[in-house]
Amino acid sequence: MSRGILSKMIEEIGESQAEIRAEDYTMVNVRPGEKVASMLDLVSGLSGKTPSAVIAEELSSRLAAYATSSATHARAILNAAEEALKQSQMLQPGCALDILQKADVIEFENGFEKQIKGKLFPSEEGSQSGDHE
Amino acid sequence: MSDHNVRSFSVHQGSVLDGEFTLRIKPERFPETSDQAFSGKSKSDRKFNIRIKQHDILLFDALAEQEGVSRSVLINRLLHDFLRDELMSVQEDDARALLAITADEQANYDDLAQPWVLDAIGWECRHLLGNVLKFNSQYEQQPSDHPGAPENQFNSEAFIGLRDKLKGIKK
Repeated sequence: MSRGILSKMIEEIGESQAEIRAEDYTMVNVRPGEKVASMLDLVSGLSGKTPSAVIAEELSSRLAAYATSSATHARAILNAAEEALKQSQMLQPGCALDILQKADVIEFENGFEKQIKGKLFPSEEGSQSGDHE
Repeated sequence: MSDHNVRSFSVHQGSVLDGEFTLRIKPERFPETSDQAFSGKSKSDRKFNIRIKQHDILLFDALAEQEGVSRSVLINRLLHDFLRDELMSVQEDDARALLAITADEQANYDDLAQPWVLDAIGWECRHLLGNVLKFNSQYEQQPSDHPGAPENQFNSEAFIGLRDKLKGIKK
């Protein structure tokens, strides 16, 4: 039996609700000024979404693109990634840092990966540490 | 005349003019082109609550700190770029102009913040905008005098559909 429109819609609602619960969001209060506020209201009205929903879908990819718009942002990206990994040991799915990682702009190894690597390739690990000295 | 348009006060300067003064202002005598300060249309200070991923907050803060601006300034910059790209993604000139002018009508712009070019050639800009909205072109077109010619003979389908949808939103 093929899936009906309603069952598909309800499944999508459930998925998005699960996503909201799983991911940690912060509500931020912004005063965007007249120009941005009026267009945001208009896009919100036309799309039938709340301003927050309109923005939330786009913000992470915009932030990722902005972060890589200048090489001078490298330190800020590192600082943010370090803080994020200290907090959660992994990056939030879909966040700007996650997008940067998928684009191979940043990469990281966690402690577990390092241990495994050390056991599988002990000589390589040793020579690498020797290189640093 | 309302009370806030009248003031009374004493002046003692040691001259023959000393005594009780009464001062009145008459807003109804202001030229029609004056700003809306008396009409009560104050500058909007709208706030939006938006959901941002916590790790995005960390990156916003790190970038903002490096650039010496607030997180809010950075968010607003990205929002502006996003909305501008959305607007520019509309292919039809008349539909894009309709969206822009509708948003502008809802905004209460500060004259000090508008570009100088609008001060210099504002009339020409409005004329150009009028042509785009009416003829879907920068230049005036000769309307067909055929009795069966549609009302919006020059406008794109996107413009006509959008205009109807915007009417629904404004209600």
